[in-house]
Amino acid sequence: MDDASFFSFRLSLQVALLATVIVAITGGVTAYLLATRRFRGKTAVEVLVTLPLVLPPTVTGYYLVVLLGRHGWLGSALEAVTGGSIVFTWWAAVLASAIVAFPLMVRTTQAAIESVDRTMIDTAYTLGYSELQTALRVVLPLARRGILAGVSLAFARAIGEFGATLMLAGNIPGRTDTMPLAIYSAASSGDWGRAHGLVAVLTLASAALLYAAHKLGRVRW
Amino acid sequence: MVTPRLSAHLVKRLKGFELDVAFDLGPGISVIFGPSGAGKTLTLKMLAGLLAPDAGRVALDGRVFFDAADRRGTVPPQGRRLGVVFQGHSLFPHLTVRQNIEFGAPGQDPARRGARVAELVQLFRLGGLEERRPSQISGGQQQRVALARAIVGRPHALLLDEPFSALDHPTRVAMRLCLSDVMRHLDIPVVLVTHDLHEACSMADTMLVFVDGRLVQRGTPREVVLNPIDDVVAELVHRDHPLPTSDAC
Repeated sequence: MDDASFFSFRLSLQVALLATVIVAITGGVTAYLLATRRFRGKTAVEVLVTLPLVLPPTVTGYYLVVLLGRHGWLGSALEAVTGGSIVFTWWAAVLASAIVAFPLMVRTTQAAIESVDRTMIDTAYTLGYSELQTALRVVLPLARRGILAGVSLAFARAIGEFGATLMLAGNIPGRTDTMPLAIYSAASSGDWGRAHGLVAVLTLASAALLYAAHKLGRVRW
Repeated sequence: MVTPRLSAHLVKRLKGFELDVAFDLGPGISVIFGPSGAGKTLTLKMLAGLLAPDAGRVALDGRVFFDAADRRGTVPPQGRRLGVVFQGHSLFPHLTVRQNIEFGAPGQDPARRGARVAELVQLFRLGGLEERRPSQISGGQQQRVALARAIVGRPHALLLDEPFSALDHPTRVAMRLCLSDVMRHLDIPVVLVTHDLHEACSMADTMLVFVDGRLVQRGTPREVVLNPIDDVVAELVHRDHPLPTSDAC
């Protein structure tokens, strides 16, 4: 693998892993709240959370550019505080990947948490466990397979992210060209040797990770 | 030692159903008996604090758990110290028998808890099963573990919601004997919910008959079976016993 390809590989892993960690925490908490709370506007929240799953990634990316660009209300506020913009940095790739992967984590985890028998939760409460303790000691272990499935799906989606990343982070060689972008560049410039190599590495890495997650999740009580 | 009393007035309105019951229970086994849909489980959930009544009051030995006049003072289920065993299998499948029982005594000193768990393992005849998962033991053993877990933290009252309904007949009979035996070691109110007359008769010190959200009769099983208060109760207690005799209860 040449240096540029290795950079793309490393950047993709870095972006996908970081995005997955962010999504696992924020998506996990969101899923728990959606699974256990009833509140006004819950359906609207669920629709909003799921939207990046059905929208073309370029549309999601467009929203992110509008929001986080130099003239966007969040982007300009961020620039006023930090002095810089997130757009066209590798952090933009992390954010784009995280937003696109978020619904997969939330929907899968929410379903897993909802499938935990209510009696188990009630039993823990009557035995003196707080909601947080019950979530960590009962709900999390019992919903573990679904949560792991959510995490691995989120990772798979994050490492393959293209459209939203292109919109927000651009395709800057040596800075923001993650593997999917590098593959696109290689293929569109006729560098098939490089494209083949990158595709093979991305496929193998994704398959290995999904296999590991599948094995981890196969615990039977 | 003061023997705790469980007193409750519970009002709950649901779509097409209203529960309004009041009772005061001392130590011993009080059986809430009635047909499906009479409000038995609803009552237990409100006693446990898992569901808020619309009106009424719940107190155990003078300590108020819920008072509609002071909702802010409601004690959550975590603070009530009630042992609860639900219908079916409520054991944690990811924990062993020992871990399930230990789960019932959070925050206790490990050495004391270990001794207490060992005592309960013996009492409920669970020796040799400590390291097994719930899926590796029988239904009767599972319910014995659930009972052990409910009392390991020395609760002030025990609430049992049809705990034996998923078991086959011989196991159910054995479980009733086991429970009666264990109750002799405890001096707390035990509320057992059932729709099974045999179970009610064989377990109850006091029987509370629920029909359609109302407590219609209270007495010993013999009193209820021999002198049902009305036709509905008569139908309930004679359905299983066409000829109520002293053997029935």
